[in-house]
Formats: sequence, C-alpha cells, structure tokens
Amino acid sequence: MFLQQVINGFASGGIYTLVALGLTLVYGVLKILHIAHAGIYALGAYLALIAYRIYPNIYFAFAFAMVGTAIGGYLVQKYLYWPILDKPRIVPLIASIGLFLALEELYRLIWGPYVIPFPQKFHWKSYNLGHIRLPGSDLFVFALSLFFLFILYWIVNRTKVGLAMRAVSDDKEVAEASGIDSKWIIALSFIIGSALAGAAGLMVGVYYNSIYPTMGDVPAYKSLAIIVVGGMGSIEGTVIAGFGLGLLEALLIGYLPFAFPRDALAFIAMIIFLLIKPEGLFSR
Amino acid sequence: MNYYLTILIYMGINSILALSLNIIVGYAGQISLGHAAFYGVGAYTSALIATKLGVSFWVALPAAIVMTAFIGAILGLPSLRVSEDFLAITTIGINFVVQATFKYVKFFGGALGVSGIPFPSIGHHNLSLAEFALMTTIFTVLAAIITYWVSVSWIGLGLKAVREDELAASSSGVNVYKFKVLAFIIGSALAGLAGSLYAHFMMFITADDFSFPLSITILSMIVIGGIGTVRGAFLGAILLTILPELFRPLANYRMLVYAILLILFMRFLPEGLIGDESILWKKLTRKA
Amino acid sequence: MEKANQKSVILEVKNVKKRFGGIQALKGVSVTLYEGEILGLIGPNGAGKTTLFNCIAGVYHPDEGEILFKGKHIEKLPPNRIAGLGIARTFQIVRPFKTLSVIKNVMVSLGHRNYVGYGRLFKRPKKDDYERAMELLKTVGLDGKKDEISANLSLGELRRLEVARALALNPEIILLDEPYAGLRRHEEGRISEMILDLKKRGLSIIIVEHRVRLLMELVERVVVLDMGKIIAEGSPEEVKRNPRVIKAYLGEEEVA
Ligand SMILES: Nc1ncnc2c1ncn2[C@@H]1O[C@H](COP(=O)(O)OP(=O)(O)OP(=O)(O)O)[C@@H](O)[C@H]1O
Ligand SMILES: [Mg+2]
Repeated sequence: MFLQQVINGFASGGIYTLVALGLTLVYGVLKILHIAHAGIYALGAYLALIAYRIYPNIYFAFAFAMVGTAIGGYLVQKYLYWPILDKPRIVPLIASIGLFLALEELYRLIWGPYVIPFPQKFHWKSYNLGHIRLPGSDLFVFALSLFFLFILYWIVNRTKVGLAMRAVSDDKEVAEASGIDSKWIIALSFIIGSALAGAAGLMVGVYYNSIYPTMGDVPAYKSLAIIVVGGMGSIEGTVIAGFGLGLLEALLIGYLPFAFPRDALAFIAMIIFLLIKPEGLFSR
Repeated sequence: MNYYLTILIYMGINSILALSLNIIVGYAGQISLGHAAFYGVGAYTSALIATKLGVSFWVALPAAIVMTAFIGAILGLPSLRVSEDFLAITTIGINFVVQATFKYVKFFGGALGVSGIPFPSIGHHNLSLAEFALMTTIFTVLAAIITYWVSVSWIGLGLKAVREDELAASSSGVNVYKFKVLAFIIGSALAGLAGSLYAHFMMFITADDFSFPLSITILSMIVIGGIGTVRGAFLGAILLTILPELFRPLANYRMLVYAILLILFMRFLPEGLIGDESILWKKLTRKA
Repeated sequence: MEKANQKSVILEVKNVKKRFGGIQALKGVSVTLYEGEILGLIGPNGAGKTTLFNCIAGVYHPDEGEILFKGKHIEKLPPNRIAGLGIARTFQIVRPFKTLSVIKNVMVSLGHRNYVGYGRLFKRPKKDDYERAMELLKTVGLDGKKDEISANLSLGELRRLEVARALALNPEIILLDEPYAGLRRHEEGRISEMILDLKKRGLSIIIVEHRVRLLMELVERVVVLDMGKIIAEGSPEEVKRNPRVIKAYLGEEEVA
C-alpha cells in the first residue's frame, strides 16, 4: 500500500515536473508567469487525439502533439508576450491569464464540454516486485518523464544552446553583450517548454484516459506552486519540488483523515514553505 | 424594473470590489490575485453571524468589515516577505485555500454553503429591492470617497512611493511594512463591505461564489478601466457588469469574448480606457 | 549657536563590519564626519563605499560595530527612521518614483513626518507643502519641470531630483553616492555648484566618488576605502600622492 502510493506519487510528480519545467524555462528567460502554459498542455492532449484519429500510432501522436504545442508556444511569445515585455509586470500576467481562459473556452467550443476518452485503451501490464505490484501505467508515465527530463538536462547542460539559455536567464543584458541572440533563445525556451507541456498533456490524457477542456486548471495552479518552491527559474529546484509535491500528495491523500482538495493542499504546502524560506529552494 | 435594480446592485458591489482592490494593486502596487478571498471572508462572516447569532444586517455588516480587515492584515503579511511574482502566486494560493476552507469545513456550511441569510430590514420593514439598491449606491459612493481620499492624502502618496520603489520610499521616510499592511487592511475592509452586501442580497452563498476566476474578473475591472484611478475602477466595474448582460444572447461565447477582450486590452491598451496614461484621458484633460 | 563649533562630530562610524555570503564587504571601517564639512569617500570598484552608505542609511545593519548620529545609536534602525532623524541619501543608480511627477517625488519625502503614527496619514498636503516643494525644486533647478513624469527626465536631472528629494527630509547629513556618475562635463559643474550651496546651508555631506579630480575644489578631507578597509585619509592632494592609494587604483582608469 505504502510503496504503491510512492510509485503513484512518482508518476504524478513526473507529470507535474514536466509541466512546471516549461514554466521555469519561460520564467528564466522572460521573467513572466506564463499561466497560459497549462492551456498549451491541454492543447497537447487534444492534438494527440486528432493525430490518433488520423493515424492510430502513439509515436505519431506524440510527435504531432509536441510539434503542434511547440508552434503554439512560439506564436504566443512572438505575438503576445514580446510586444508587452516592457510594460508593468501585471500586464503580461493578466494577458497570460486571459489567454489561458480563451484557450479553455476554445477547446470547449470546438470539442465540447465533456470528457473524451483516449481512442485506444492501453492494456497495461503490471509487474511484480516481490509482493509489490507495480502498475504499468505508472511505470510508463514515470519512465517517459525521466526520458524527457534527461533530454532537457542534456540540452540545458551539454549544448551551446543550453549554455546560451542559462546565460540569458542569469542576465539578459550581459548575455546580449557577449553576442547571444536573446530573442531567439527566448523563442527556443518557449518551443522546448511548450513541447514538454504537450507531451505531458498527452501522457495525462492516456494515463487517466480522459481529455477535457479544463484539464489544464489543476496543473496550472500546481505548477505555479512548484516553481515558487523551486525558487522561480531554477531547473533543479523545479524537479525536486515537482516530484516532492507528487509524493506529498499521494501520501497525504492516502492518509489524511478528512477530505480536502488536492490543489488547495499544494498551495498550503507552498505557503508554509514560503514562510520558512521565502526565496525558494534554489534562489538565484 | 427588478432586473435593472438587480444590475444596479451588482454594479455597486462590483464597483466597491474594484475600488478596494485598486488600493492594494493600483496604489500600493502589491499584485493580488486573490481578492475574491477577502470578499468571501466578508460574505461568510456576515452570513454566519446573521444566521447563527440571529443578529440583524446592521450588526453583521460592521462585524464583517472588521473581521475582513483583520484577516486582510494577516493575509497581507506575506507581502512583507515575498514580492512581485512570488506574491502573485501566494495570493492565488490564498484564494484557493480560503475557498477550500469554506467548502470543506463543516462550520462554514460545507458544500451546501450558507442559506437563510436575512434580507436587510429596518424595524419590521423588509427593505424593498429599490431600497436595497439605494443603500448599495450610498455605500458605493462612500467607498469611492474613501478611496479617493486615500489617493490624495499623505497615505496615498506613501503607498504610491512604495509601489514605485520600496527602497527609495523607505529612504524618504516611508515605513514600507506599515504601508503595505495598511493597504491590505483598507482594501480588505471595503471588500468585506461588498461581501456583506452580497450575502444579504443573495440570502444564500456558497464557497464557489468566491473562486479564483472572480479575483481575475475584479482585477480585470481595474486594469480595463485604468489602474490606480477611482474613475477607472468605476468604469471597469460598470463595463464588466453590463457586458456579460449584453452578451447574454451569446451566452455560449461569453467567456471567450471576455477572455479575448482581456488579451486585446493588455496587448494594445494596457493603460486602460481612462487611466492616467491612456490616450483618451490625456485628450480629455488637455482640452479641459 | 550649535554651528559655532566647526569641529563638533555629527556622525561617527565605529569599526563597522558587513559580510555578504562569502564576501566581507566591510572589514571594520571607522569614519568621522564633522558638522558642516564635506567629506570625500573614494575607492575603486567594489571597495564597499555603497555598502557603507547602506549601513549608515539603515538599508543594511552592520554585523559588528556602531554608528552614532549626534551621539545616538542608529545602527539598528530601519531606513525610514534614519531618514526621519535627518540623514538623507541619494542612490548611485538613480531610483526615482518613475510614474510620479517631479513635484510628487519631492512631496513623498516632504511628508515624512506625516507617515509616523496614524493621525496625519489621512490629511491632505497643504498649500505650504507645495510651496516648499517648489522651493526645493528651484534649489536644484527643476522648477520648470515640476509636472513632468520623472521617468522622462535626463540622468543629470534625475540626480538633481534625488537631491531635492533628500533635502525635503530637512536633513542634517546628506550622503551622495557618485552624484557625477554618467554625467557630461557641463552637468558635472552644475552638481558641484549645488553641493557647495548645500554646504553653505550648513549641511554635513559625504560624497562617494571614484575620481579624486572632481572632489578637489569641494572637499578638505578624503577617506580612501579599498577592499572594505580604510587605507588612507587626508587632503585630496595628499591622498592622490599616497602610494597605497595609487596601488589600490592600479588597473583602474584613473586616480586623479
Ligand atoms: N546585497 C549584496 N549582496 C551581496 N554582495 C554585495 C551586496 N552589496 C554589495 N555586495 C558586494 O560587496 C562588495 C562592495 O560593494 P559596494 O557596492 O559597496 O562597492 P562600491 O565601493 O560601492 O563599488 P562601486 O564603485 O562599483 O559602486 C562588492 O564585492 C559587492 O559585490
Ligand atoms: Mg557603489
């Protein structure tokens, strides 16, 4: 029972982390709270749905969803955020919330307000480890998140582009002075972050076998709590906070003596954490 | 007629909310995305006192204001520790936590909310809808006078200094902590007033009346009207009360239109319709 | 009557230490400021000059040491209290209240007494206050721009605005952090005139500056800070010739 909760926690933690990492990347380079990111995440799920109807292959669906959300993210930064960067911080923030609402409404109008199951049911095998049952779906989600995390880690730490991304998020002016095209790096951060969100959306769609217009709500607020705890713009912090939240929830929900909604729990954890350490885990 | 009176009452309540948030966000520059929480505290305090203790609206209202001011001071404390984006997210969190508390704690009525809240009365005379509308209008004007007064007095100057630059403000003799907390207290007290009016008007409230999207709506009012100005808060509140009514035939597209408006405003008119820096206001004041 | 004694001490910094993480920004600094004098504080980049100002102004509290203003301990007070006591400062990187007009910027400081307690918070500024603000703007030559939004001012004008804002506190001491930085030659002259004018009014002044050259005609006494320590003190001429000072500035663009 306990270990199963832990595995479940790792699976949802992986998804939280993937979504929150996109936010972190964007916050790092632009310093804006990209709340509409969760709308992109839901877009990933719907795009996967379309792809699957065209050609029922899960890899194709992944590719389609990730490319589509990447393009979406690129357009958002180019036409919405870029022109209002020098405005008071509340302006891009509200624009982002507006976009999030608009996206959810669009999904509702296009695909209907109801839950759509993913076209194919995956029959997960379960693995037994001693007398612990490891559900295949959890393992699938966890392994995939690790896979994407690894790719991101590699990009950020081992490539020139990643170096440039870190330089821009440390100090945009200095980075520009040393010849980095910050405009392109910002665009790229959106592209990568959005593709990750798209993948996460698909994974959740498959995992819970349900896709619906407001599926981004919970991840939206949770990933905000995660990036705050992680230290606002720190990748390591986000990973730790993301998995930490997944575990915390899985364990608390299992043992809490009273009903309390999961998203409120995330925020309570965040507020308590902030009161102790107002600058987050890894502040910069 | 009743329809128009109801709209008028909503307009008044929304105006009070917009004016009150304006003190926190517009004057003091503290990004708060959880104003509905304070509104909710006011409504619940008023509703619970009236239903559980059986007191009248006239006792419940001031109690709600005091209680909300108190809670506002406490919930405003994070603004002393965290700033800007951290504060924005913390206030979202506060909204969720407060709403969840109302919804999941039995004392607050749980998912069923609070019903049987008395409509205001004087002696044995229950107020008519028109009388309630008049009363709301009076409170709205009062709230406008208070916020206007705050903006032109020394406290307003200090708050605006805190908004622009905390370090420079403190070097100018402004006690930044005190001013931030004061902004939250005054802003919350007025939100408590709005909450009490709402509770006794609806006579029935649930936790979902005070959810995060409402906070965004209130924020949108002041941003669309012109942040940091009394006239802007009024215009925004009136517009965002009437627009959904006008869009009623398009009910299905209402939220979409609203969201797109929000985006367009931020993209092309972030200073609001009649904010100090807006083209419209500059033209108007230059001629005068 | 009090001003008669030129040598009376108004501010005393005693063995102040301040550390940021791994950096010991101040390693035991002692400085004395006499009433009515202009003291030059020079030193290379990162020497700790701004940190010392921040300690005096209450932005940072020293880890060790004391700061006495007219014999009273101020090292634990917050910035707003210190401002209220009569120590004003300007910032190395200007910090105007950007969206407020020039006159409102000054009004903020002018109101410092009203921010204490609660009784006067809700009073409106009076005609006298506006007149006083205008007077101050005239002192720094910004009266013509009183209704301009401060974000639209040039750097030189912003530095003068900061001085007006500081003066609005009716201070006895004013701390100027690199008032010449980034200015053109003709603007430098303006600032010097203004500083001499402040001295005439009886203010005690500390000026931070990289270049001794600019301080020559202004100050009698210069203190040199390097790597968090005072390494020299004396007239500008003496300091300029001091080998330790020359060494500290090695690699910097200029000493004089
Ligand atoms: N808030 C801070 N956190 C960490 N380190 C700081 C902080 N403030 C100053 N320092 C460090 O303390 C040292 C002294 O800095 P300070 O700004 O006082 O120098 P300065 O003499 O004013 O230099 P400059 O001529 O460049 O203005 C520097 O190494 C600086 O990096
Ligand atoms: Mg300095």
